[in-house]
Amino acid sequence: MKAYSLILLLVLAPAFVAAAKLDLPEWEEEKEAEAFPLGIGLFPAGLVPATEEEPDEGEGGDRETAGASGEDAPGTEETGAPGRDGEAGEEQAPAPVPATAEAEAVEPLPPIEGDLRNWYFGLAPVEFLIDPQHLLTEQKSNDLRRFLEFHSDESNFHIYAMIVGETQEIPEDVSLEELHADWFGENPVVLMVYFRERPEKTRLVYNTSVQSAFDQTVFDRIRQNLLREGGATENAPDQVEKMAVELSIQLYWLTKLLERQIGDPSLADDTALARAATNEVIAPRVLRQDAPALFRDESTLRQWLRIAAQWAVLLSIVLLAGATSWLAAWVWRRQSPGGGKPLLFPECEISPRLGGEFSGGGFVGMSFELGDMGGREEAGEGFGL
Amino acid sequence: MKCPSCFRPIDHEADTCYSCGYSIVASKAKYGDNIVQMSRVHDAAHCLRKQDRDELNRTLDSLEVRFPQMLFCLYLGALPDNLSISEFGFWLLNHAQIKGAEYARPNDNALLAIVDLNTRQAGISLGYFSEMLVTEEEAYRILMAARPHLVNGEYGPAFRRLFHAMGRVLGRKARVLKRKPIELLREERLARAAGRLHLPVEGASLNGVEAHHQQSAAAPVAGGSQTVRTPAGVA
Repeated sequence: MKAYSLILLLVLAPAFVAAAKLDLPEWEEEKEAEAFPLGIGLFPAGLVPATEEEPDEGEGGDRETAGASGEDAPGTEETGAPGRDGEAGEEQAPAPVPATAEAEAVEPLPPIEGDLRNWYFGLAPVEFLIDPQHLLTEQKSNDLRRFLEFHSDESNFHIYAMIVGETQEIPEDVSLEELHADWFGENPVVLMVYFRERPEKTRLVYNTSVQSAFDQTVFDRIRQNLLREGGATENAPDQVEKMAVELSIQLYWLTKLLERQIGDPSLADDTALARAATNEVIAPRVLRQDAPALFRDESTLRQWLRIAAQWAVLLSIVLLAGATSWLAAWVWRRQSPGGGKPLLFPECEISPRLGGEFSGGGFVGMSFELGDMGGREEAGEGFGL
Repeated sequence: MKCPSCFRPIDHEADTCYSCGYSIVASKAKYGDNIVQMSRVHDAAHCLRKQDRDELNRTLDSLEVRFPQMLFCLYLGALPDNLSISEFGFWLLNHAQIKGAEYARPNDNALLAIVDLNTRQAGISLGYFSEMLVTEEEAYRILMAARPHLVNGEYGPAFRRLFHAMGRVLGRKARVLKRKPIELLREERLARAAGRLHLPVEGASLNGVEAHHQQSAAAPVAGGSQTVRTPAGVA
C-alpha cells in the first residue's frame, strides 16, 4: 500500500509543481507599473533593455523608460530569453548603451546667479577658502583651509582661494579687481579663482599697488608656475592644493622683492633687477646662485669667511682621507716582509772569531714546549744533510 | 759575544774561548770538516707540509728582494743528544753551502734559524755581518714572536712569523743606519760586549760564580735566552 502511494506521489509531483504559482507582488494600479520601469533611479535609462515577452506584467516590449530620449535601443525587442520570440537557438548580442545616458548622469552646475552669486561675491570672505558649492571633498577642504591659514600666519601676503565649477563663469557684471579692492583694500592679498578640473582658467587677482610694483611678466610667470603644478594631476582637490602651495612659494619670493624695493626704490626701475626678479619667481632656489646680489643679506667679509670655512672643511676632509690611506699603505708595507724598496746595508770591517770563516758563534736560543707532541723523538743519524 | 759551547763571554777577536778553549777546530773535530749543502728551508725532520714550505719560500723570496745582501735560511731537525744547538749553528754556518744563494749573499750575512725537535729548542745563528745588524735582544724578540706557534706545533706559521719579525728588525735597522754609520753601531756592540768582561767586584766569591756558570753551561736552555746574562762586574 505504501508503495502504491509513493508511486502515485512521484507521478503526480510534476503536475503539482506545474500547477504551483508564486504569489508575486503586483501593482495595485496599472499606471504605477508604467511610472516605475525596471531599474529606475538605479541605472541610466536605456541601460536595461525593455522586454516585451512578459505577459504577466501586461505590457508589451515598447514600454518607454524614464529619461529615455525616445529611441529604442537597437535590439532591445530582440533581447530576452532565447527562443521566446520563436527564433529557437538564435542568440542576440546585448544592445549597446547610448552615450547620452552616461553624459546625463552628471548633474550640470547652475550658473552663478541669485543666491549662489551672493554666496560668492556678496560679502567679503571670512575664511581663506571660498567654496559655497562644496566642490571639494570635506577632507581636502579642511586641508586646504588649514594650509591657507598656516600661510597667512607665516606671510603677510595672504591667499584667498575661490572654487568655481568647471562649467560656470564669473558673471560679466562682476569685476574681480573691484571686489578685491573693496574687500581687501591695500592689504597684500591675492585672490585665486580656481575652476574645478580646469586649471588653465585659473585667475589671480592682486592689489593694484603690487601689480604696479612689478612688470606683468612677473605675474605671468607666477601663473605659469601655478598652471604647471596644477597640470601635474587631474584630480581637482589635488590640483587646487598644489597650486595653492606653489602660489605660497611664489608669494614668498615676491615678498622678498617687495621688501627690497621698499628699502631702495631705485631698484624698481632697474631692468636687471626686474629681469632677475622675473627669473627669481621661476626658480627662486636656483636664482640664488644666478643672482646672488639679490639675496646677499650678510656682509662681504662674512660671506668670504663662510666660503673660506667651507673650503677649509672640505680640504681637511680630503687631507684626512689621504693621510689615512697613506698611513694604511705604510703600515701594510711594513707588515709585509718584502714590502718596500730594497734596503742595502753599508759594508764594515769584520774581525773573525773562534776561527770561524763566516760566523763567530753568535747565537740566541730559546726553549719551547710542544702541545700534544709527546716526549722526545728518537734522534736521527747525523744532521740529515 | 758568547762562546757557543760554554756561553761565556769572549772577546770579539778571540781565536778560542778563554773558558773552555772552544773554537772551530774543536767543532771540526767533533762534527767533521766537510762542506755540506743545504736548502734554504731544510726540513730534516719532515715536519713541514708542502703548503707551509711553499708559503715559507714565498716569504723568504720577498725578504731577499727587500734585503739583497742578507741570507735567510732555516734548519728544522732532530739533533742528536750530544749535539748542542748553538755549536751546531756555529758549525753549520761555517760549513754549509746554501743551495741557490748568490755570491752577494755569503754566509757572513746569514740569519740561520735552527729548531731542534729533540730538545725543543729554537735559535738563531748569526754570521759576522748579521751580528752587526741584529742584537741579542732583537734576536730574542724574534724568537718570542714565533714561540706560541712552536709550542702548538704549528711550524709553518711559526717560521713565517719568525722571518716576518726578522724583516721588521732589519728594516728598522736600515732606518737607524741612515742616521748613524755602521761603525758606530759596531762600537756600541763591542762596548756592550766589553761590559760583560769587567773584572769581578771586590768581595765576590769566585767559587760561587764558577759554580753558577758551570750550572748554566751544563743545563740546556729552558724558557730563556741562550745568552747567560751575567751580573754586572762579574766575568
